[in-house]
Amino acid sequence: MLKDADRIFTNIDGRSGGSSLAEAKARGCWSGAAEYLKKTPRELLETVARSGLRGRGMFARKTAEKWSEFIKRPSAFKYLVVSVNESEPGTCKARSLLRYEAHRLLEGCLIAAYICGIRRAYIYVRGVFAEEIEILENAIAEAERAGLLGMNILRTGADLHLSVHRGGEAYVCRTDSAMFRSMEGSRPMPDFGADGEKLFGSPVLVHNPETLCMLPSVLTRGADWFSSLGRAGNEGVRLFSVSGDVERPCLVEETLGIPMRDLIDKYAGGVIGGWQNLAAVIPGGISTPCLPREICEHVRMDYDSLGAVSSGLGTGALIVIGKSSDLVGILRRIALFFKNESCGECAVCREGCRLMFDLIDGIASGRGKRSDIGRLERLCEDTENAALCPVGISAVRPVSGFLRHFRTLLEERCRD
Amino acid sequence: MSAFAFTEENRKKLEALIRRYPEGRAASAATGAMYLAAEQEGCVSDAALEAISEILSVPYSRLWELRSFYGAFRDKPAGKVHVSFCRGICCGMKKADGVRDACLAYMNIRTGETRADGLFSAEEKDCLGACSDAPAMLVNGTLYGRLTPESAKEILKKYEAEAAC
Ligand code: SF4
Ligand code: FES
Repeated sequence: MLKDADRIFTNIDGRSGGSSLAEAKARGCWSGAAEYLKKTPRELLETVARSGLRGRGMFARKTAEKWSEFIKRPSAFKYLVVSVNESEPGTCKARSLLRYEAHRLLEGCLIAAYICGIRRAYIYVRGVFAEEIEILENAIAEAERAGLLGMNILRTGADLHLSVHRGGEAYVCRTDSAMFRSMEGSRPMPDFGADGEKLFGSPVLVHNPETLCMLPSVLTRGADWFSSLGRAGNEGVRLFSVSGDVERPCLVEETLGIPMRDLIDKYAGGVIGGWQNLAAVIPGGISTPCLPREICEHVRMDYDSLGAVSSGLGTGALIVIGKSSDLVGILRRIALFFKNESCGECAVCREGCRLMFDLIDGIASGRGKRSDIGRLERLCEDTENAALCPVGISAVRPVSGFLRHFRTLLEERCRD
Repeated sequence: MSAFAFTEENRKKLEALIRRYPEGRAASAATGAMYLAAEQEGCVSDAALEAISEILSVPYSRLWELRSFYGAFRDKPAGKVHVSFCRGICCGMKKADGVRDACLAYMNIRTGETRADGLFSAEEKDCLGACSDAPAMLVNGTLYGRLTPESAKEILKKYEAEAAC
């Protein structure tokens, strides 16, 4: 288990106060800023590269590689956007992160911006997090007053203007170009045009908040310390949430590669009714395929281990499903979510999501036929191959994962 | 259509929002402006859209489209006490239906409705991002978790009493 001394998120549960600057400083936030801002962006980039840090978002790219590419893009003006559009069902980190660790995020923004030569950043926050947005706005204002954000930060010559953009409610904004259009006041639709991946016409670097929160510790404690946590290729720590049929749902920080069972047993108090009562676990938000108990028994929580069992780490949000919960009903609920959230730009996703829901709904309510399961399978293939953005693919994966492990549960519900 | 004007304070807030974006990009403040309007009058009315359209120089039709696209905005006033029930998976596993039904019975409305006296309104939302505190609901934007039918009703009573003052 992760030692307390190695924790990055020392206050993710709010045990030592809120997100005021004084409280955050007492926990060590901003303490190294004056030091590392004396170094060149190049030197800092090397440290991040050596740490092995990978993005905690959807694509899990090596952060340093992503930055090296970004730095090369020719433009005098560039943006950083932090995507706190957490709306992946089952995921519950953003609220705690903004409430209790806002300054860690702001400091992370400063580091990424400094290394990548960015002077303007936005934190895009899902609109429903109203209380948290207020806390974040206050944290930004306090940091500005203390000279930690704004012009000539800590008299080092570095500038960063940071503001919050409160988004509407649209899952499709997890696709970057849809988020950019939304920030520009257009309808949030993925944009595949030549400048689709730009914000206000300039290149933009997008990050998950969790990735950025790692940066202050990587710089102050060193790359070797960071990479000593976790496993080769899956270095460092991650926030995991455990919810569903467990005794004590929780949000915890642990090393990548921790056995899933340890998270459930040691942190979340175990499955309600005991491990034997476990039916399945969705390992990283609803767009990651669920896994049956036999796999949960030994699988580790990292990018590669979960990829090897045809699932994924996703948002690191485990949903534990006990035998007393209705798995088919949960699949139906997932399909309904995607049916509602498909933006409709490509017919295959729009129609595919609708049809997948109709078929699953039919089967769940006992009206389905066995041949429907075959149709469902083909639909998954077609939609996955032709969907234009990650949302369409996310819609398919939970269904195809379900078919892989729990096909018989669907068959039992069919009327033939 | 009744007229709408931002209060002095909200007008200032909106000006500050516009300044967050580059020159000529006032349209970016559209959602922010709608949140301000919603705070002020409990919804984003057509009249509010007109006012926003004028201030931001964004076509009314585009704002209208945004309002209908985002689940966050409504065009008719919500009740004084507006409840959003989570219909997400984790809440579903923690008997959110029971909480919702008990609350709806107490408020004497169905989801999507506003009570005739304007006190209560309710809607369902997808995952509220509080799954480890399931079942969860929002009351006037404030999050409440680990609810039981009883504790949820107590919360509503508290709001009801405050709204009566
Ligand atoms: S895949 Fe789905 S969500 Fe993505 S652009 Fe196509 S219709 Fe929209
Ligand atoms: S499912 Fe209700 S808060 Fe996530």
